[in-house]
Amino acid sequence: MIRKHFITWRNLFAFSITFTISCNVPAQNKQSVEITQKLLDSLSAYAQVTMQSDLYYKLVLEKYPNTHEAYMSRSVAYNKGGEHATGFAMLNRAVELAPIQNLGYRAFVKLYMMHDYEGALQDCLRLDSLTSYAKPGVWGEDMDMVIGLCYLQLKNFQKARSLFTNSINTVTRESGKQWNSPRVFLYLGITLMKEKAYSQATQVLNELIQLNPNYSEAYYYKAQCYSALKDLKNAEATLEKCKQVFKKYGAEKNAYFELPYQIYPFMLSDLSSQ
Amino acid sequence: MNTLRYSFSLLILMTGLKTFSQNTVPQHLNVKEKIGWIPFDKSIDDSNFKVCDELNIEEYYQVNPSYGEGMPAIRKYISAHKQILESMCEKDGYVIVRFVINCQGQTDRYRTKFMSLNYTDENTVNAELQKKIIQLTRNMGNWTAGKYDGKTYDCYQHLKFLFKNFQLVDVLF
Repeated sequence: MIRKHFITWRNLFAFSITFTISCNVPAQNKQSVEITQKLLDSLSAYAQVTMQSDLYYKLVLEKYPNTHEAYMSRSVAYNKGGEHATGFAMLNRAVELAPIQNLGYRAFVKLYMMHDYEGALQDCLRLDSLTSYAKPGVWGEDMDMVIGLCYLQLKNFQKARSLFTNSINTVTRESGKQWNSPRVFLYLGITLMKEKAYSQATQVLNELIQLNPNYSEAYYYKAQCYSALKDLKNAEATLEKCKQVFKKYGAEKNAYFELPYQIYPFMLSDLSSQ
Repeated sequence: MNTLRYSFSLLILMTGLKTFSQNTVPQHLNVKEKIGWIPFDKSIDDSNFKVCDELNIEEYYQVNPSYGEGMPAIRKYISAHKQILESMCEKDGYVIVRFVINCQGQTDRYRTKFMSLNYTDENTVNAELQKKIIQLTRNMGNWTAGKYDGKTYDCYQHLKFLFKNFQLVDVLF
């Protein structure tokens, strides 16, 4: 016997409920995330400062306004070009949406590109409090070193010393002494110099020289320590070594900003004449 | 032999990818319009100022132009005008001056912005100070043009003048 009706009213009701639920928000969200990721990946084909790159990120944000990666990526070109008000408006939005992913970069920009040491410190401390289980890097740099540098620039030498020491001890314990950034030893040495602990500073800078014999900055600041100690013989010898190393290897530089305590050729002759 | 061939191909590919992805080398975009583009404005710019390649004005971090021995030389020059700048400061924040350095080291197309210490755009504030900063940076004289791989380039450069408590506390790029 052939049934007269394949679809009963009860079946039709069940079907419509299922259809309504399947069209609901979760499925749309899933699709959005996939499209956004695909778009973001494809945008790396455009050079950073181009209008195309900026425009496409803008379009992504029009369709998916909570994409923190797009805000952050757009901010980079503006901040590098000195359009910081626009750059920070975007970067701040990225931090609002995803603080753990973006606080480190914002701290980095504030510290090195804006010399906003208090702002960088607050961002680092917030990131540290949100991630105390992991201690992520601050845009690739050790968090304790960066926090220490903020304190050093804010003239809180005691805290700076404690954080640099902690950074060195942690990296040394976990990976080995040679894996420390040369700059953490340099900053610790400079902190000690600022505290007028010149002998201790010399010891730290000696450690740096042992690890990196071609690091001009270490010799320059060590010569300054000897000069402050009125040990002119060692000051002259260290400065001479500094000049040799500088001539061969130069000093550490960054294309985007002036490094803290960067040395220049004239500083060497100035110290000679002292 | 095959291993050697594959290694060589891989090396070439990696070198190519590295060059393409680096932001600190000239990009040769062949466009005027990009983020931070400064179009020529005949009402304020010097019509005698020429760039070598209008379509490829690079960024400072791609070709590293310099002034004297670097930032200390700029700070030394500015320090002689510190008092006048501070007397003109109406509000704390950053005065940011952006300009073009051509392939001969000459400068023009100066533009300024003022941004508060909270990073908000307040361009109408410190108008006289902004004008003074343009005048001072214009009078600094020639720069050493940006260079990469033996070739000189036109490029964009900016300087930031940081004022706190109506004092000029730093000049940076």
